[in-house]
Amino acid sequence: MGKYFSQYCSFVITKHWQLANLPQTFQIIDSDDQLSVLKQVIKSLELDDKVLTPRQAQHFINTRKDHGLRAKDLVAEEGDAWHNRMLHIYTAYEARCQQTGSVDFAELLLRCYELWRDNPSLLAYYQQRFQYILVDEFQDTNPLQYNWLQLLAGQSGQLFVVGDDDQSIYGFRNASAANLANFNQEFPQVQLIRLEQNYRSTGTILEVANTLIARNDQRLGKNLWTQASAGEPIFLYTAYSEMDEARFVAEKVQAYSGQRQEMAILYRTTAQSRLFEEELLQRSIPYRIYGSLRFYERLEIKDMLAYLRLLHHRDDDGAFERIVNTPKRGIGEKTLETLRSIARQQEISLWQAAQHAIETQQLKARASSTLTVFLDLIQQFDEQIKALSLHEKIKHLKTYTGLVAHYQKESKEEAQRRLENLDELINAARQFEQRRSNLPAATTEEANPPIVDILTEFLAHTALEAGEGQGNEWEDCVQLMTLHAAKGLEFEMVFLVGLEENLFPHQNSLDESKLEEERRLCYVGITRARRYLYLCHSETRYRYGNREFGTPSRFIREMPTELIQAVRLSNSIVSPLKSWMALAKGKLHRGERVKHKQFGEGVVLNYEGQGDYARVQIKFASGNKWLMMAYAQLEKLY
Amino acid sequence: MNVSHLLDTLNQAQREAVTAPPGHVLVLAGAGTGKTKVLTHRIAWLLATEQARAHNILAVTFTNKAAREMRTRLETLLNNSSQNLWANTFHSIAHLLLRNIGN
Repeated sequence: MGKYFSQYCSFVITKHWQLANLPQTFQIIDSDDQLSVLKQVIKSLELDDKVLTPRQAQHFINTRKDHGLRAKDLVAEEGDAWHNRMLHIYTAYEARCQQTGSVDFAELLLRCYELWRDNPSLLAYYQQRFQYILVDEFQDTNPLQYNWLQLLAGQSGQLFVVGDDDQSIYGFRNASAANLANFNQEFPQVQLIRLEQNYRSTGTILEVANTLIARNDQRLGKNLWTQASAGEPIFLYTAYSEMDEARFVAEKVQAYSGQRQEMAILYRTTAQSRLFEEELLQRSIPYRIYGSLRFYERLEIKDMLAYLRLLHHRDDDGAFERIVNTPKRGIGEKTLETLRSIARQQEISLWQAAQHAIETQQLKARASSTLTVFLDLIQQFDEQIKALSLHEKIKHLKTYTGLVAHYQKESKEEAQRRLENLDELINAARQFEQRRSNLPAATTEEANPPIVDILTEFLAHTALEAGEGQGNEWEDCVQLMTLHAAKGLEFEMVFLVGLEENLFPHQNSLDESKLEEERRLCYVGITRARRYLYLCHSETRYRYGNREFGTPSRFIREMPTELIQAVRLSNSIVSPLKSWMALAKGKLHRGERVKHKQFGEGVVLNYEGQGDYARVQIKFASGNKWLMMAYAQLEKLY
Repeated sequence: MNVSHLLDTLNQAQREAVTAPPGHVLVLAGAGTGKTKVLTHRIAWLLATEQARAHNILAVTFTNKAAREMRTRLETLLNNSSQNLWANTFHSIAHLLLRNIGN
């Protein structure tokens, strides 16, 4: 103890924060605080925060810090104005934080690293103290964390690191998959021990995972095995459409006799959740989205729907409030407060209040003109989209509202996620139109209420979908999540969906280095499953409002085919067809032959929807046709 | 000291990792192979065999959840003799150090 004590004494008076050039009262700022500081900094530099957004600056700065780089370590690059301005912002941001004693997350570690690096005696003290350093999830370390550990370990410290290079999936957060291999090479005499006995999954699941990941070149290599039995085969379902895929999964979920929370639906992009949500809602199966919001509750979806709502009904105050300044058009809180007060006094809507305020000149000239621009914009949209179909309306708004540029001010990943969700909303509208066009026209004898316009119906649909469904805390829910969110979790049954080229692997990750990370993502997905693994892909899928043909993911081809069992179409229970089946007095299977009065004989290809919406696709000699089941009066042929 | 309770439930590779001789160790741990178990048992082993004191150990995780789980497991294994032991995230550790806490 003695030797530690003397060391200890010399440092207890040395205040680390002082050595690190921080005030004693330094404050940690979180990501949101960091953004608002950056916003001020950008403003004070008189730069346009619409071109150089706080989000982009945050990403630029944090990435540099994660690599241990300060602004002074970076050089201006000739001809790269963007880089140079970011560098400028970085410098000013550092000064600002120093002045206010603010420390962001990345800064904490960088400061600590520099404190040790620049104070050898202090470092020596901690090196002596922390002789045994253990690190979890080492594959997720970024370069700064790696260097920090290297510095602390010094000559005498002993590092015990645990990790899995095959599960390194956070490249976009500056994690370096190579750190495990680097550790093995750069540290002296590393004892490499492989833990390969798996206590989670069946032999078959492990073999599929092993075979797939063996395709990656950049790995230390290992092979999982188990004492458990081979278990069930891996099931592969080839869907006709993404609706069919969602329906298949929902049917399996419904049929499962165990706990629902033991089932997970894993997808590559958040936008894919929508169809599964819809299918589960229709069946009243409680679900929970892990690590994200439900589709119709996501910010970008609510923004877009607010435009539709306001266009549909000018007196929708909620919609007005949401988009009057989204994207930013310089309509401030003060203006809004004036409008609210007019609306209250005269018992009119905000839209009317805005018109009133402009007419009666109750606003300052600038506020009045920005507000006029907004009102005109909405009126213009109204003219422009009047004749368009529902999904074209949304497409048009997506292009002209400025929402896309608005989201692109965020980090690249975030922006992409939002745009994918908007595209999925276009698909949702497209499908909604199709379903509706297959409804029979109301006949005069029927006491059907007059059919409201499709926009009203669609908005009601989205509101209802948003209003319920996500299970309560105590409810037994099936779990939906992205593959990234699934890391570290395990389930009895896993559905890996959307296994198609350009979706998974993602279209932005098709070059070699990123492809390996996609494959690791697939590996992570597979190894979440204990007993049952379903792989699903669809032959067609709506993308940007068009039906496109998809190629099965290369990852399916890279798995051992003998372990994969295709789910036979005739085995699937066609529950949405119940009403029609009753008419047909027999079960309907895909591939079965039917006869239609007008079109003649045909083969059942597909079906979708339920109840009154249920319809069936049939291949007739004259071509493929979608027919309403309730009215098609098909005759079954044997 | 009897350390069998730390080793009895381990398979051979896990035991090899937990009882590895002094030096740097890289445990390549596949999914579902018991990595958290190996980490916590390694710490318990170092303490039980008196190679290290809790004060000399630094355990680093990425999430608060993982840090909590590690501490909980350690408490069970060690009957609360892990009080001086630092098991935390990179951020928290850097923060404690800058504030000069824990000395």
